Amino acid sequence: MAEVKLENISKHYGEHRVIENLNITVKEGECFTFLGPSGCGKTVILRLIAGFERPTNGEIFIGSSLVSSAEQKIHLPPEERKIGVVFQDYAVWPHKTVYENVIYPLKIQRIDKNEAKQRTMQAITQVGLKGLEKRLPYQLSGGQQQRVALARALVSKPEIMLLDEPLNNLDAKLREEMRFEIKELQREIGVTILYVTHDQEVALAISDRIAIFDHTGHVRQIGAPREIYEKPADKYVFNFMGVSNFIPLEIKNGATIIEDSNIPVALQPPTGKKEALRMLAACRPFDIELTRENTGMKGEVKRVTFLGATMDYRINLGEKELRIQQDTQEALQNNLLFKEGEDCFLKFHNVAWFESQSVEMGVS
Amino acid sequence: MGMIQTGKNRKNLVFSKKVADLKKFGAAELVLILSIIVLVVVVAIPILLIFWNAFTTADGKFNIKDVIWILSKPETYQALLNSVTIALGVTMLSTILGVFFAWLVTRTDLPFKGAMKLLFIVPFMLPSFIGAMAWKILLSPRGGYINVFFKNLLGIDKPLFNIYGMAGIIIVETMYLFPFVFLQVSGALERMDPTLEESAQISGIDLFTITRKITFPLITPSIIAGALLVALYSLSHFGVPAILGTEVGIYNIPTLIYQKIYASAGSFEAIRTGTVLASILVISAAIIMYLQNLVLKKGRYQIIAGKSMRPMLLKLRGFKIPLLIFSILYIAVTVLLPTVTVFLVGALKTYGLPLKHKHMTLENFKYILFSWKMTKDAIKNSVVLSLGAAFVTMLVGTMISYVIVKMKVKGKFILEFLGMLPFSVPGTVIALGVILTWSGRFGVNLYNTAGIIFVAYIARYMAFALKSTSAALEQVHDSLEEASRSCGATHWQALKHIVLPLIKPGMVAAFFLIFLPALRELTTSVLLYGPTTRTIGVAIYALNEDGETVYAMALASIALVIIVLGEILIRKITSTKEGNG
Ligand SMILES: Nc1ncnc2c1ncn2[C@@H]1O[C@H](COP(=O)(O)OP(=O)(O)OP(=O)(O)O)[C@@H](O)[C@H]1O
Ligand SMILES: [Mg+2]
Repeated sequence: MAEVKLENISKHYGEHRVIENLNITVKEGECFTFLGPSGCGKTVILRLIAGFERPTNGEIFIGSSLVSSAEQKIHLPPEERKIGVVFQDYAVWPHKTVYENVIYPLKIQRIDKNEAKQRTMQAITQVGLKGLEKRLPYQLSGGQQQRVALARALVSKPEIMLLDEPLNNLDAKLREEMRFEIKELQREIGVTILYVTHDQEVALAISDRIAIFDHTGHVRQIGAPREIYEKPADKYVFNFMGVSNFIPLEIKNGATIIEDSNIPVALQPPTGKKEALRMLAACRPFDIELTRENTGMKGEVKRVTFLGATMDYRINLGEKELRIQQDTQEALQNNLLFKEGEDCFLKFHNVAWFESQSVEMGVS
Repeated sequence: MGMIQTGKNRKNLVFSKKVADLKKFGAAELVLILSIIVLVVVVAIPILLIFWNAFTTADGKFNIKDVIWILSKPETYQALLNSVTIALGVTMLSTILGVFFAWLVTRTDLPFKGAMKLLFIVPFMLPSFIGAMAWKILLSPRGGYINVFFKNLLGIDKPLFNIYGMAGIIIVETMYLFPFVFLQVSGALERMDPTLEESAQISGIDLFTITRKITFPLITPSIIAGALLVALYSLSHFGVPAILGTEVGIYNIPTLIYQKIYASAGSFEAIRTGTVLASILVISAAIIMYLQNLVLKKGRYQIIAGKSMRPMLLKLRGFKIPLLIFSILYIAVTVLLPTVTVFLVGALKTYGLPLKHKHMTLENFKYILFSWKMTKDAIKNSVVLSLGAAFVTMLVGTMISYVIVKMKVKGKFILEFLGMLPFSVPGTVIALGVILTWSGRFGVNLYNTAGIIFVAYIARYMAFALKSTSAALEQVHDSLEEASRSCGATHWQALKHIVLPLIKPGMVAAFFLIFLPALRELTTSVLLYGPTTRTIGVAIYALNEDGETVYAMALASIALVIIVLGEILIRKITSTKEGNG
């Protein structure tokens, strides 16, 4: 089993600096997710680790050995890194059947024929493709091809698996199943998994730790899913982890009001941050309660959407539009369903506080 | 981060450093260098030597005076003028015919469009010098069958049409080159997004205006591209002018080069004139290729690929049947008539006899195939040389394409540049360059051996191999090969298991794209053959020159049969490839 360590890794394509001074250590047996928007460099990082690209700067260690080093001009070729890879575009070989695709790594490793056969069938079963062994890739759906790629990566029981969006083409139910399978696999054989996605839900469900990237390829936060969800490092991370409401506030004469307005808000910035004049309050749609009792914060219902188990509201608070959700069942019981155009009162729970952008600018 | 290494770590580190050092100058660089060497030796050096010979004196000084002197000599000047005149005439005629027929089979309700479309490409298959010979048999002023027929019929003593001369050359070349325009334009018309035309139609504009204002501007790049191809081929074309011009003292650049080299047995003066003319061919070809790239690049934006489309078809109404008859007649006259002539004359007991059944025999074919050493050797030479050249060129071309398309190595741009060269070098130039390179100058003398034709074929057809294999390689996404590497396969294994099987159809296509033209090649081998190394093309040409018309045609018939069989085979192979995709 092996850990993966990136030290001061940079990757430039000509003038385009995709990755700059990246430091990450993925622990042995960990499921580590790279989460970031499209084009932020996730695939490039995986390709660096797999050995398809050479870093412009920095070093990569797998286990105790140095596999890539720009300074020392070291580059271990991909086939010697013993890494299973699932490519974003599946890369299932079109001239080989499902069975031939999956058994290929074992053939390369000259595994005993019977064992290879048995392991191949096991992998095919694991990804739910039993019965389709003899099909050629063009006879498979996108999701099925993706599962062939997954089976091919795990059949040789690698110490490290790199998965680039391996579930993005599956339907919700299958995605959940495969997510579970991957997690099981990690527990069973202790493989280190490096997982790339831009889907925060999958990331939260599957990871031991997550690294959140912004669009420039910088890491904004690394941490366990709960840590990231509950203690986002900055506004960007908070926003990335789900639907967010941001309310710019300022403190004037000891009272908290919405920035550039006179609408008072019943929110107290956490102590220690009181000296800042402008703040940003952030919360999720479920963390704002709609009530009929006067909380001092009055909003107007702009739009209501019924989503089944939840009700989705757009509420105007002064100039600001907020997104609020409530449990349909609970609201019904408490007679707290609101109609469009109706007035309502707001109550905040779990507010996260960030420095306001404008304050930062004002200071600097 | 901790940079202190444990003992074991350090050992590992040292080990992987060694591995990397070994691989620093690894397979990638080796293949790159090998590819560059092949292209330099086979293509670049011959071309450089031509320029060197043309622009330096015997003791190696730069000299432009001689070049001007050679160019201002009446015979060279006249040859240049003829080449340009022929190229212009052929290009114009081909463009008119090509565009007209392309429009007819894609945008009108002409019956049997599918079949007609195939038939219009058939002239590609016929070697143009064989066509020229057939036309000579039909329309030579004195003995031409058609001329004789009309002389008797009308009681005139002047021939109906004299095929010798500029007009004959232009017309015959057009017959065999117009498919270039036809293919480009019909392809463009088929790919064109019909919504552009439809929206115009909806706004009530009549079809003629739409064609003039929308369709025509959209296909202009394709028309120009096709026309430039015709110009490129015609400018450096040997076969037709050699057969229909030489006899009446009309030379173009390639036939003058041939005449110089052949008549003077390779004197310095002759080689000098040859190289100067060849330099002009190379430069003009390069300019044409450059223009073509420019035009095609522009065209790509304009023609939007709409796959499932149903273009508006112009109703021909009263013209339908006349136009169909015209098209069929055109094909009958340009394809069927010469082909039948070749076979019938090839079966005649003696040349000049009327084409009647009682004068026919199969003895000629038997004699050529089984008894006559000269023709037997020619067939054998051609088959062996084209098979060998096709095989080697395909393999080398695949390697070079792989470096160009797939590899990330420094210095690749050299290869990309060298890889462009074969596309623009005419056959005559290759032959001349190969003579300069392989006649002992660098310690290897292949003159008068089959070897010199072999290297010339490789140089001449490298472009085909590069085109076909690089197109195939571009279809194979990098991640397919990388997936194999991450499964533990070495680079070589990944090539063998993944890349090669996937590009095999492209390689097979490349093989046939080289084998078939090489089999009937004349332009290059006519400058290179020795006493025992005639090719089929050379043998037919020589037999015709010697007045052995019957045997020339019998051999031509055999060549045609082989070519048609080959074309059918390649069509089968490429269509099964598409079926799998
Ligand atoms: N070979 C290359 N040459 C030049 N630029 C590249 C190359 N590969 C990637 N890039 C650039 O690097 C950036 C990151 O690309 P990457 O493929 O890693 O994105 P990603 O995070 O995987 O996005 P997605 O989620 O859409 O897959 C992009 O801006 C891309 O244009
Ligand atoms: Mg990606």
